[in-house]
Amino acid sequence: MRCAGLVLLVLVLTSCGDERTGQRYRAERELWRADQQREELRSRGAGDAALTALAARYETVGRRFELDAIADSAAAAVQEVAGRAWLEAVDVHLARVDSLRAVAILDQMHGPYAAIPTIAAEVAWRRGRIARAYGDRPLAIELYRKAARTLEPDPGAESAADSVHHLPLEALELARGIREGPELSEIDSWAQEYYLDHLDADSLDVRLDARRLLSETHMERGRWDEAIEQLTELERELLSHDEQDEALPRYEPASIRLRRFEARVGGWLESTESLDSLRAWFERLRDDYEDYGVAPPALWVMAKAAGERGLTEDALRLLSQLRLRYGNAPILAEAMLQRARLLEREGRWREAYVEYRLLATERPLSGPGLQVPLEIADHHRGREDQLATREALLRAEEHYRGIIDRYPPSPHTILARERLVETLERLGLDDLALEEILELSRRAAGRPRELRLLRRAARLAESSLADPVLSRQILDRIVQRYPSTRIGQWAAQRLGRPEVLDPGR
Amino acid sequence: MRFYESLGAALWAWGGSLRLALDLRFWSPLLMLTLLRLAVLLLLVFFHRPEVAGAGTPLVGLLGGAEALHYPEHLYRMFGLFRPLDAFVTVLAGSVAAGAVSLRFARAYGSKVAHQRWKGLRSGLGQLILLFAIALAAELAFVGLVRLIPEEIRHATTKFRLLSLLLEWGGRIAIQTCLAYAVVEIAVRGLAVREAIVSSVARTRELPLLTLVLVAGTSGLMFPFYLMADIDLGDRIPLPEAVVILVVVQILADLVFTLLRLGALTRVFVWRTEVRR
Repeated sequence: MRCAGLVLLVLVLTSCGDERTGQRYRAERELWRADQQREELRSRGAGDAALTALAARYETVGRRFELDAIADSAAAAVQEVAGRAWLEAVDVHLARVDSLRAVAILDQMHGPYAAIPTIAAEVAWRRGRIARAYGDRPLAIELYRKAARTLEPDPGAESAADSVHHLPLEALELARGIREGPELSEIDSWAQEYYLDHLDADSLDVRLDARRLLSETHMERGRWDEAIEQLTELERELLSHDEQDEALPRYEPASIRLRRFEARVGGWLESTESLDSLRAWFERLRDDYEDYGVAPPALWVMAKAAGERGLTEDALRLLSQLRLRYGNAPILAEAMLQRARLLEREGRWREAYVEYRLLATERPLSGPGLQVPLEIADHHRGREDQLATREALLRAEEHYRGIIDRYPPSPHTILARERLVETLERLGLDDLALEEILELSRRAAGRPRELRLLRRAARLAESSLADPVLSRQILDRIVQRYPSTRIGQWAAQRLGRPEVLDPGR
Repeated sequence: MRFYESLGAALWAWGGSLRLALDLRFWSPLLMLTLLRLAVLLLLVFFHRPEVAGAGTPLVGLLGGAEALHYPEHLYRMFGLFRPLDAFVTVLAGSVAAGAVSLRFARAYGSKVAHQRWKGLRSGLGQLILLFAIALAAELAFVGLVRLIPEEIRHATTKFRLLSLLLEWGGRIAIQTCLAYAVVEIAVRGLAVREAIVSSVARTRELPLLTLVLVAGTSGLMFPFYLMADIDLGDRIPLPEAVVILVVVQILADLVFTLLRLGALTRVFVWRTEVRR
């Protein structure tokens, strides 16, 4: 009895006032249950109403457990779970194309979560992605920089730390060609500095990623020699690591060699060197990594570069070589399209036509294969032969309809339908094009694509068909399905019903 | 004794325990132990409650690592969290309960020695605790030996993994079989641990098949629960709370099987040591 009493006393004394552990645990439980609901909805394909309810559930968890002040690590743990719930709500809102609500949540999260690096970084990152999607590149760059500064990379982590180190490179890509905002050179220096700092990180994955991304930064800015230097070092590190029997890094030395070759091709394009110097590089790559499938894409890159430098015959020869040696390579369809285009550019239309037909027959469902009928029509349009263009477009329509009828619904048939829409629009058959766009939107129900297709359909009905009744029907559908999205608001304005706007949602 | 004779004797021994088990007095020591085990489980399940969090959090962290402090991993690891604490409780309280139950059964089976021993049980408590500690150490040592086989081999395939767990379990059953009569030797005959173990091993050698059937027929049925501490339940049980229910089932099943095992072993013991003479 005395012993039991002592145990009880110890429990009571050591436990007084520790409420945060329980709060954190309950928050985790609520969040997990909402996640389960999300998985369930994902498996059975949820409508907008179900997704709205799910987002509200996540928001409730966030609101319920959010703390006003973070006094200690236990409170920070509670706040982190609350932050996760808000971020899940943001993701659900983005999935239902409600970026307004997503932005509203992210903007209110800046203050309360500033002290939690994982959450603060994710907030900045998501907000940056939305800014990028809406074309606000300076804001996206600023937010990406903030995210990268806030959180240290940790590849493999189940948080933004897993890939936060990609952001400097993304910021650099965004900075290219913007008129206002930070200078490109400033972002470039910052990105280089960021990756150089991480070359000495403790984690092997961080070090390798940093070197890889540093090389990409150099390639982005056309510093080919520096990129090659980094990629050479990276390949060497990977090969030496491979020999020691440790946990293998996530890069294949073969893919790094391919990237190195691409950097070499980039440098060659800006030089006056002969193609032979590239060939020597290619042969070394082919011999070193014979079984890794990197030779076909390397050959394709070399052929494309030769074409760009005006060495058409060399390019054609390389593309033929690719077809002969690597007949089953996934890149072959791209190579055949490139070959046909080069032949067409050289005025060898008969040969180009044969190549186009071969591509459409051998790889009918590939992207390049589906492009063939429109390429042929483009050729005739370029020669201002209206009759031949129309005939080619009619054949294209027949071709695409045949594919849609012949094959079960898949991404390939969706692509064929998109090409069909393009064909019908060029033929001036806007009513039929509209039908196909609406069919595509039905197949994309519940996804952001549906909204964009509906907007396209509404515009087509309004401008080309001059059918206000149909246009209003489509706009009405947009407003009903996506009332709180930007496109939903645009549709409401077109309908002259600004009262449906509800910016607070 | 041949196999069928051993099986017949085992059924006879279990039958006797089952008949006596209708009397709740035989259950009381083990019921108290069960309540204690349930209390330990409650502490582990509700470690995050303010009333116990100060002690519960470091305890769960110590037993299951930092991951075990988070939902739902905490519940999925419940078998692993419960096992070491349960072993501790079994050594301290289970040993005493087992001694008391054995003595009650021995008296009910007409053991004259047992009638004289009731008051002397108190002096044997230390011996019982020591016996359970030795048994636990021996079982852990055997499991440790099995785990010396490199993990790449033990976990190479699902079949290998199951085999290595069966090997661990088999070793534990073998140790329990050797020590099967030691509790009764201490509780009823008042022997010291060393003599009790020697006597138990000799008795098991005398009746190897019967003892093995009595031990494996009860403890062996607990293998699925042993397995659960070693596999990732997150992939198999969609509702984390269900794991707690499974642990409760384990505790209740152990209560019944322990009573049956102790009753049957005591009956065999009394039959061999007193009635036959």
